[in-house]
Amino acid sequence: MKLFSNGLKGWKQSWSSDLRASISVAFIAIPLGLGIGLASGVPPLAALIPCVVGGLFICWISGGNIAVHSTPKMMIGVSAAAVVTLGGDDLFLGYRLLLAAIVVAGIIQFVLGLLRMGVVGDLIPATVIKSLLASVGVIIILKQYPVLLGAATDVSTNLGLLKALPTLLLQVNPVVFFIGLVSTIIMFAHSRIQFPIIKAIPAAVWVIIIAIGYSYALGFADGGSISFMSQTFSFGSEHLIDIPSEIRQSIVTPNFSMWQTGVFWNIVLAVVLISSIEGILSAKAIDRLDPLKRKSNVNKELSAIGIGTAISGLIGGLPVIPAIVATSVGVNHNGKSQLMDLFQALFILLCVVLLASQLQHIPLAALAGILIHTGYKLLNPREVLNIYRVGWDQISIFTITLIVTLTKDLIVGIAAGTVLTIVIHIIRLRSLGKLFTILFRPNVVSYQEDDDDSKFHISVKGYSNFLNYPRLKKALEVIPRNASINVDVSLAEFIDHTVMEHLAEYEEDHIRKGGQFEIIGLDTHHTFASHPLSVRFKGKSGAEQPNAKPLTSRQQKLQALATELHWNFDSGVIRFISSLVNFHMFRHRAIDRVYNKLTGIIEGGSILIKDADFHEGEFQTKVKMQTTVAIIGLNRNIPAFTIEQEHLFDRLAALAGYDDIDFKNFQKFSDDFRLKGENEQAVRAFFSNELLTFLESQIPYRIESNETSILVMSKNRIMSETEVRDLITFCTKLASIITSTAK
Amino acid sequence: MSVPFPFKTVATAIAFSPYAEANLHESVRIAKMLDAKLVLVHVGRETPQKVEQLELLVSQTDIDRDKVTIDFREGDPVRSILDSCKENKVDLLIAGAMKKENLLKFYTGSIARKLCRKAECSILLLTDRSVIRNKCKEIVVSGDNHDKTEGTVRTANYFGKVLGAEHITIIDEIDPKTGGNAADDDAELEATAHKRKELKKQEDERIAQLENKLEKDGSIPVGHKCIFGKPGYTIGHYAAANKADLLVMNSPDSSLGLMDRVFTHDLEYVLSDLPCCLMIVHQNEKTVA
Repeated sequence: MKLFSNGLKGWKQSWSSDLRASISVAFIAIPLGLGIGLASGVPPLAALIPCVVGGLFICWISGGNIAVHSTPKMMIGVSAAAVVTLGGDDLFLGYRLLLAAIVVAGIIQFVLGLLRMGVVGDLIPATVIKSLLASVGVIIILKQYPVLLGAATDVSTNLGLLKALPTLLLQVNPVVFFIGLVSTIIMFAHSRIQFPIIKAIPAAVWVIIIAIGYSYALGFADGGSISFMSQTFSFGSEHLIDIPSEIRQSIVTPNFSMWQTGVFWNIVLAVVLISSIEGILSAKAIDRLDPLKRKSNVNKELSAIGIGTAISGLIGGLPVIPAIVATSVGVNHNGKSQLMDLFQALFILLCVVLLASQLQHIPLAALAGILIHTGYKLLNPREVLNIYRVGWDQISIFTITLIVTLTKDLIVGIAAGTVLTIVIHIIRLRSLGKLFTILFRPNVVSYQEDDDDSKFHISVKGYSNFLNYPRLKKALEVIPRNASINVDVSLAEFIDHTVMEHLAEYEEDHIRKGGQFEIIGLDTHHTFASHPLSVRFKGKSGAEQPNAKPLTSRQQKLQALATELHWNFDSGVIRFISSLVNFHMFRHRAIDRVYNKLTGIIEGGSILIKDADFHEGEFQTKVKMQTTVAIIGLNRNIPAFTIEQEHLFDRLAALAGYDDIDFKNFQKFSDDFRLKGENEQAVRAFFSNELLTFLESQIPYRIESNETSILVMSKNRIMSETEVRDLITFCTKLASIITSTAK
Repeated sequence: MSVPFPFKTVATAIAFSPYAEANLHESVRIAKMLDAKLVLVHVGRETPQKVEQLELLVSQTDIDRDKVTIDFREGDPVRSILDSCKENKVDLLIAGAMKKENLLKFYTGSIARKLCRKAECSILLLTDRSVIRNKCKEIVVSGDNHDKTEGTVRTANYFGKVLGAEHITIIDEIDPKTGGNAADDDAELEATAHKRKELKKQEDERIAQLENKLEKDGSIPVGHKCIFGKPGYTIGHYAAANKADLLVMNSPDSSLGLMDRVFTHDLEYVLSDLPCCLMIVHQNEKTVA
């Protein structure tokens, strides 16, 4: 796989797709940014400044390869409280003091990056980080629901807002609440709608458009009132977002007067921590989205966002980090390089300058709807269930961190969660002294077993937890991309959940880049729960592995089908499988798990049918999907191509220059299907009349060839057993035609 | 370069415990395999009963009595043992680290460490899976870039032949800091991989010369590996992971003796977590016959 050069050379090739992608990115960045700004208790545009600063200044020095920059969502958890703590009643002063803290934090981050301290992000237990994200989700929902309802309130503490729910529900302002409710519904329902035109425009943009329309229709700007059920509800510009018409008014300089107080440095620490944590997490997640599978330099990025944060703070903006949501939108729209960042910054600037007067008409309740959706996604109930399944230790850490963060603040929450994790480990290890060995002794050795340059063996000994994970990480990092790695944990007496999770992530990344990875020696460990990522330990105590779950009726039918065909059926869950990532379809869609594998031999090759859970996008834009796919492994190579059903939108895309290969004698095929392939000549030669006739008369499947195998899938859902039978029939016939044409 | 073998005189500390007999049999066995004299050091006051008991124990073994010296010493255990070794011109001191006994604390606790640090002769620390009682298949020896290494490697070969070992692996530990450690992104990763390859080539040449010397001595099958890892720790972990039977390392450089926990070859790691039997080789003035 050829790596894109990151400088001007690469950019010259990708600028047009980056430009197109960045339009979508800007469209989603503006409402999100306004929302985050509002939720953070600062002027709304303060959250758009980081996007602009990031795009204009940071994209040149970034350690990432495709990262689009924005502001951390976790700031919401810190800044609203910080503004009050610093400024007391004078919110504007508090805001300016916060800016000073942001500038200082940025400088500190810059230094941390130079010192290669990016590894610090790994020193916080995985569950604590998840709990932090969930806490921010809860904080957002608590702070925004009054705005959604249109009920005014003075309460500012999280607990207070929770208690005030019944009271505020009664104070709902239907005029305001209506648009808030509609916005929320749009945000949640958008991903379910398959209609292409609706799908093409992001949910947040729909919300803005409809909300502005509503605001004009009712005349919010001028104010008014409606009588309804013998009550009068008034509405006015106080329910609209407050954006200055003069953009220059948004440029606010920091106030450094409190730099000698402890409170100030407390906030600096909080900003450094959350900005670095969310930044590093996002950078790693972005690497997984990179269609070219490059690795970003976390330390370089840390320094880069440090500079960006400092600049942003100097002109009134929130901190800068690489943003996972914005980047995933860009990649989904075919963006390829850092230029996306630059272009989105320019677009945002353009929109804000030109459309400021329109943006002023956005009702706050609509933004609240967007934010509540974001908060819900951060809360991620499914992940919470997953954490519960990993073990009682993890769910306790999660819950306690959550409660402490909500009642105190983020820093105390992180500290509490980390300390609790250490305490649980000490209890498990039954010794305090072992904790010292973890901190001060190496525990990893990495070598090549034979003289084969590409096979590595890593042995982990003793105790492995989040505190000494950097050692293991270092050993893994220096291994070249395509290498084959065996991680042997048979000498390890204790492996905590954070390390298990990091190993699973590394496994996925390494295989995605073309390497091989296996963990061996785990069979003799005991776990807290029967989850692959549960804490592992050796020792006398420990539960027996519980019995495998009984097969579902669909699984039983598939089992019967396998027996009938003399094939093999395996209902087990594999975390992911390498064969799927080699298809375009899954290049920027992350596969979560694969299960119910049917394998067999057919004429011309082998076939593998499995169910897969995967997702597109991240956080708010994350859409989870399921499907059943077939992979035909061929005995010979064929040209690479993709065939999919042609939609209305694709006709437009065709105008934009995507080549569709058509066949004059097969009008129906050419009309109904879109066939693409790099080597048109080879593709035309390959598609014999017999093949075209066969395909024309078939149920529309999406078919993709990557030269050695063919991927066949149809719906965005799991297939029934009958549909699987049809799929098998189709694939068998397809393979047989391909084989016979070869002769 | 002076090599410390052949071992002509071996010594062991003998105490009156349930394991004394087993301990003695082991020491006798190795003395016979080496065709060496045996010194039995007892730290404690010499009494006629003790002498009688010891004589009885010795007579129950099949070693010639005139090859055995019994030495009673009083005072600090470490000092006494070391003095006895010096006076009796001991080449190899054998210490047991059988985990079942409290001798574990005695030998692998501070006593063993002090012995290892201060001894002026080679030491063999025996764990539960003693290479004297059981078959020694695999020997791991340190091949670090150090003056003493040649002597140590040749000693490992010599001792391995005595024990009938099947294979020796020379482990060359390269400190990652010298080898290039940066791997923050793809470019750095490639640079590091390249640097490491260069270093490995140099080290391979050096080890090849070592292996030639072994050839001249007549060697057991030899292999080698260059591993990037913390010197002193890495070899111990490797030995554990590969189920080696005997680990042979250089003695610490005495010039650093004052700094308590600081060794050039950090035996500290290995001593605190013995992967298998351990031999620490001291160089001396003797030359190969």
